[in-house]
Amino acid sequence: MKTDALLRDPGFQLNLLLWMTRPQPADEYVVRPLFHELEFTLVYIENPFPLPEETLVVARASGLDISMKPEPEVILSRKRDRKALTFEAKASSFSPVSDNSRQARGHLLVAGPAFGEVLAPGFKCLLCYVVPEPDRAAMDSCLTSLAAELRERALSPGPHSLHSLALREADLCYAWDAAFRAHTGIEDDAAVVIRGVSEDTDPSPLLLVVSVEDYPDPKRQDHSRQVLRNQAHTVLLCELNAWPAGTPRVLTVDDILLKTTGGLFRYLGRDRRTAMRRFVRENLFKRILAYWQDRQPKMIGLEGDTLHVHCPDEAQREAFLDWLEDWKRTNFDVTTPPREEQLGLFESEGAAFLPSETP
Amino acid sequence: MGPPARSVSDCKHSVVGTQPADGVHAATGRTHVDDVPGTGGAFLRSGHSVQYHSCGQSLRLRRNEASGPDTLRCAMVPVAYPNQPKDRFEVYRFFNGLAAEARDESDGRRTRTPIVKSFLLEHVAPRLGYPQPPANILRSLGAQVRPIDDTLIEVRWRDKNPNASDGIQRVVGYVEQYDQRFFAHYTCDDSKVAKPRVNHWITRSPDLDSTWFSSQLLQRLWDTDVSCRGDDRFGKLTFKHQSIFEMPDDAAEDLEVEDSGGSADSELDEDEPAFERRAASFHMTDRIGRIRASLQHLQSGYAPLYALYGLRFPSRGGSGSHDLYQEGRVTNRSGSFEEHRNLVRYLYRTYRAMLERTEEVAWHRLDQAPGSAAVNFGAQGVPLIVRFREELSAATFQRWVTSAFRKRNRFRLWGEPIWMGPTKVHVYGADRHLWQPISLEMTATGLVAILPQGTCGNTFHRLVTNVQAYVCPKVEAWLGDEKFQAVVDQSIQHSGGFGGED
Repeated sequence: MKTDALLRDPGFQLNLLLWMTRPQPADEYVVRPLFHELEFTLVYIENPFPLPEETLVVARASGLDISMKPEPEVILSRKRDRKALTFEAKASSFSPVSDNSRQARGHLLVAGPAFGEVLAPGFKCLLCYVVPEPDRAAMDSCLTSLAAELRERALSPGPHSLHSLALREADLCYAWDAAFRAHTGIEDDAAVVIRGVSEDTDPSPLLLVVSVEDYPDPKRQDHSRQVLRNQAHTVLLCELNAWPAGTPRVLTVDDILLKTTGGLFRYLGRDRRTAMRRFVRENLFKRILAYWQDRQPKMIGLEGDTLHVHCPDEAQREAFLDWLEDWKRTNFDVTTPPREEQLGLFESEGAAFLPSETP
Repeated sequence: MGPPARSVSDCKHSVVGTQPADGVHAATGRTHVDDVPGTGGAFLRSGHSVQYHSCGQSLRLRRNEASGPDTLRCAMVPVAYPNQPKDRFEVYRFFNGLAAEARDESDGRRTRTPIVKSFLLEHVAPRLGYPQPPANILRSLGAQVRPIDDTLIEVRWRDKNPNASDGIQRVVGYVEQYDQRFFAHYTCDDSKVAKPRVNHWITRSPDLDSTWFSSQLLQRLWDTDVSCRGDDRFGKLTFKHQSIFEMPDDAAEDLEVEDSGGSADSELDEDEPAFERRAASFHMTDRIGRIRASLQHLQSGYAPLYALYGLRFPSRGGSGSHDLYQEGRVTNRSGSFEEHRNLVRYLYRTYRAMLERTEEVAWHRLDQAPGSAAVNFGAQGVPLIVRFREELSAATFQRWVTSAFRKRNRFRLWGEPIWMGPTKVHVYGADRHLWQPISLEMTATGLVAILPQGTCGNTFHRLVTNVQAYVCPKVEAWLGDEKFQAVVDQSIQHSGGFGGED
């Protein structure tokens, strides 16, 4: 496992940030709970931030390319002194003329007076960009330049801060700058967040948020999808185990993903949601249908993103659950399924295979 | 009229004693078995004898005239519960009779009277969205139930008893509903019969689980309660640890499938194969003052002494005691059933307070947003972090991972281990007993678990209990940043703890 590649992975960075908000013991942490120690609590993950009406009008008139519905990856807040933090994790820095600047301008506006206006009156926000350590200076320069540009157009960007991840021997270190120190009151410049990193072991903690993107380890590119598959498989099994024989059960892809993510799914970006839906439908639902279609044609139906399960008696229910419990027999795929336009006519999202007895 | 006669060779249990043919009861000196409560009223006549079997049943032997004078046949004499008790007081009086008889016999070499015992059960998060009364749950398992009053039911069940060939259901005890979440099963059947029965119920019904008195909880009950009950009273601590993952794969597999109700209070069989692995199973019975003076020192020198499995509570009201075991089983060694029930209810309040505290710490204190802003990170609560104070070898770790996810495993987990390194595994799976998702990180030095918000906190306690019993006896655990020990302590205080019994 190349830890350097992992440190650049936005998925790993996001999960690390989330673990840093979870309360954990001071000396026996999984990931040092830095933000919890600083009394910051989680407000949102990847939630669209609607800019105030006046800001939208000025932003549209500015002639700048600005994201009008920015989605900070994480928003944290501290009640006692009304401080807030928004985070954006990047694999590398970018220049003011790159496409990423559109999103960065939006994030800068979120951290300005807009934050108090939209989310919590009186709260002061700091935008934190997490990048690899060598990219910090370039990223700082880019954000400073973008903020100046916004001010020139009568917009009000908030302050920003640069954070980085780096490996120091067997320790994974998280570092920050003077702006973060001033905003939060922390005295140090950096902290060890994961200890005992070794070349033969992936340092990643349990994933709290998963994606369908390739994992940065070339030998385990399917890892994130494997986690998503296992989580979705688990939810399916738990849901169906709780359901008695003789009663039809209807499960949608969104049901599964909402339970898998604890409700977070509805707030994820559109592209990510579409990819996750496709993954569960193609790799799990269709596999279930394909296996049982010939064996018990009346038991399983699939209509678009909706799975119908109807086990008329306990024996069929047990046979179905025995199969679903067996990893080898279910053999749900972990590769990325083809996009809709690549699917054949009879594999489209709307194809319906309804069991005759399903209401 | 007893059940049909069976040949002696049909009985699978070992004989622990035989009543001589002169008709004198070994323990009581009485001449009729019907003098001994629970034996169903069999006469010892000339030429008859009684065998006492390890299952706790008394077998009456008599000459079978049809088979010839030398053929002995036996008839099982079941425990006779009251016939259709009209109220709970009749049940209390019956159990009180047994308790008093057992106390009277306690001077003898071995008590023949059935011991009253209670199993404290949890009705876990209702699957169908609303709680079920115990009668419905037991009926769904095939039991017959008869209400005695609003919260007490009589239970009829057919145990898998090799001596019970009649195939009919018989009364096996009573179930009392303490609240929507906790029930107690009172029985005077032998543990070897009652434990598999309760195991069967909780294995077959996702609505039921044992209560899990982890070693940490038992230790704190010792520290804060039992050790203060009088230095001259006799206490008993039972320790049980089996490093089942230190042994060869096939042997570990055999142990995995054995009845999970195996107890430390049974004798080790010298005919069993002896594997080279750590296995500690013993009792410490002494005056409480002496135990308290030496326990900490002994524990610091030998880690399995942290794996506390059973704890004796000397009666507050007089002589006698109550033995609590890790799976929520309490045996009555006092002379009063009401006193026994008081202790079970005290333990129920303590356990309930601990689960409520666990769930509050795990889920409800998180993510207070500013103002009225919503929080949408509801998927995960705080992690349970368990650190082993003795690192597992790579081979033991691998055996633990492969065994822990077999279909029948002690940890009752389901999932696919994802290897992150030689001694690190991630599992995004399920607690297969309750069928609720659980994410696990397993390493050679510890375990991290995350449960979705709102699921039953019992899983945390089952995990810690099983880790100490089968993986590493000396552990430290936290729920988020709060020590597991502190969660337990606050629960004991919250429930009343020492002197708080009502």
